[in-house]
Amino acid sequence: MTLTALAAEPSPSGIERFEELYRSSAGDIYSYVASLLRDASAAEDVTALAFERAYRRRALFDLRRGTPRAWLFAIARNAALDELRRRGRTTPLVDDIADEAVDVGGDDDDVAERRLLVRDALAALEPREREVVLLKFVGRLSNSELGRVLGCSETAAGTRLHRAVERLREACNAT
Amino acid sequence: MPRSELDPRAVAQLAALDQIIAGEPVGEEHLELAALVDSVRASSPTLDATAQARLDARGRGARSRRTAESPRRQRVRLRPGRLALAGGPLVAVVVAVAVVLGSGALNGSAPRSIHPPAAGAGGSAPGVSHSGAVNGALPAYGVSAPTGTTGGASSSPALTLPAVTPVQRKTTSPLPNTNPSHRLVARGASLTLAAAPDQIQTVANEVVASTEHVGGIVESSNVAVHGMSSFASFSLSVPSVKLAQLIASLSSLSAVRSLDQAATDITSSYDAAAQQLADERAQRSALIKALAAASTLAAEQSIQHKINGLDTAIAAATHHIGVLRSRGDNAKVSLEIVASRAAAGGAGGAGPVGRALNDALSVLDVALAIALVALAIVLPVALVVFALWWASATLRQRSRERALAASAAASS
Repeated sequence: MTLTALAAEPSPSGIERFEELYRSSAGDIYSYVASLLRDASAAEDVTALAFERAYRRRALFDLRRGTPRAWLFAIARNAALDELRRRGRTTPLVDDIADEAVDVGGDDDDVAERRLLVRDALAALEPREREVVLLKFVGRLSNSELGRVLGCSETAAGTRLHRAVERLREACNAT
Repeated sequence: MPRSELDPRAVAQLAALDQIIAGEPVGEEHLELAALVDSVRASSPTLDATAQARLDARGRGARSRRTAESPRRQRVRLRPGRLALAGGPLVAVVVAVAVVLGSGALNGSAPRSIHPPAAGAGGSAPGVSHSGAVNGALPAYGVSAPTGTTGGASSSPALTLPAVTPVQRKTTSPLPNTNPSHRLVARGASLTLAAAPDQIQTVANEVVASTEHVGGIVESSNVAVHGMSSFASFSLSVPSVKLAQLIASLSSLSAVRSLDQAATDITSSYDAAAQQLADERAQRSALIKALAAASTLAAEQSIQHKINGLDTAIAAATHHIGVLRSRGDNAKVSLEIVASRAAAGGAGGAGPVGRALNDALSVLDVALAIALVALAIVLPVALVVFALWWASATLRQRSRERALAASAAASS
């Protein structure tokens, strides 16, 4: 899937491709943003804003610099961090998605406990470590794409990811 | 994937992680990692159906608004490639128009290498400037008008007229052949010719011949023939009334690189000096009479002393008047001949191809000059804009990173 054809908007195929990107990425974008913001309402707004920005800037997308999905996550990350900046100047964060995050439905207690454990361990990570884990696990980005999104080299992104995963493992095992 | 900075275990873990992310099976040693990935994904906030519906609605609304309002804008959006394709010819056209307007070709003034200024005809070339009276029509006594230039060359701060348009130049002379009898005008010109290196000596000889032909003299000359660094310079003095004829003659010897002409009305200086001389002579006559009538030796000596002083002043005033008269009667011409390959087929008898080549080079020369000026203006502005943009982007990104780091403290 590429966005290069979207430059020829408003052709129906361009809209369809963007719709396809939206359908395949919206949930993951929301998960990533909500994990950063810890605010479901704000995460929804930021997710919508990210897609709107992506749609508006689709002509600037360059396939040589990564996949549309990575590009989308970069936009979402900037939008989420802008929201954090704005909130930092106004009101403190309100964690209103903690409970729904561990809603495991019909899974057994062990699974629920395990997920709660992982959620707490993830929350205990440094924000930069948590972010790289989310981008990798939820965003499913390659290390080179991680580097582009985070503004560092592929090697540095791999190193950060490895350390973050190790810290996450340690946090899970320590609990 | 370059992972040389990581230990083999880390590299293996990252590779396994890529496999897990891609949904590929991994070895038993990485099953815990796979479970961790699953748990993180499962524990991440999810988009419920209601939120999904709201998001869908917002996305559809935003896209439909943009699609409805901007099909025209989408079509005309300029991408860098299109901008270059569109901008290149546009810049070329602008440069061409500037060159044509600058050369005066649209007004019938031909490029210098084809039609060097003719005596009395007033054909003026690009790069040629005039300052001074045209056709002897000097401004009112003691009034100085703005300096007039054509072609951008410099002009001296002298008695000047406004810029001479190409149309005017067709019917006027660069400088008058004759002065009004009641005005005294000092004239000067600075001329630069371009000649092929092997032609500089020939052109230099023709300069001397042309100068002598109009009754002028070569006050000094310097001719050096060393390939492309060949050079010749002359300081010429020529009767003012023959100046235009000499310039026309010199301009026909080779391609004209630049021509500056200046005219300064020195009538007031001359009149003042003449008046002062007359006063001093009258004063001397009175003192001679007083000397004849002096009754004492002391009075005689005092008057004689004053007469001696007046004699000195009269001699100086006479010399000054002579200098002014000479400046009015004789014009100074500073001539330089520089070596130029482009001038190999110069104005001195080159064929049409040579002239066309010269014209093309002239156009390129002017275009390059315009481009350099534009670059000199655009480059600093672009650098400042880029620096501001870069600083702004860097500060914004750092602010975002700080906000991310601060989010941990705010949420804990």
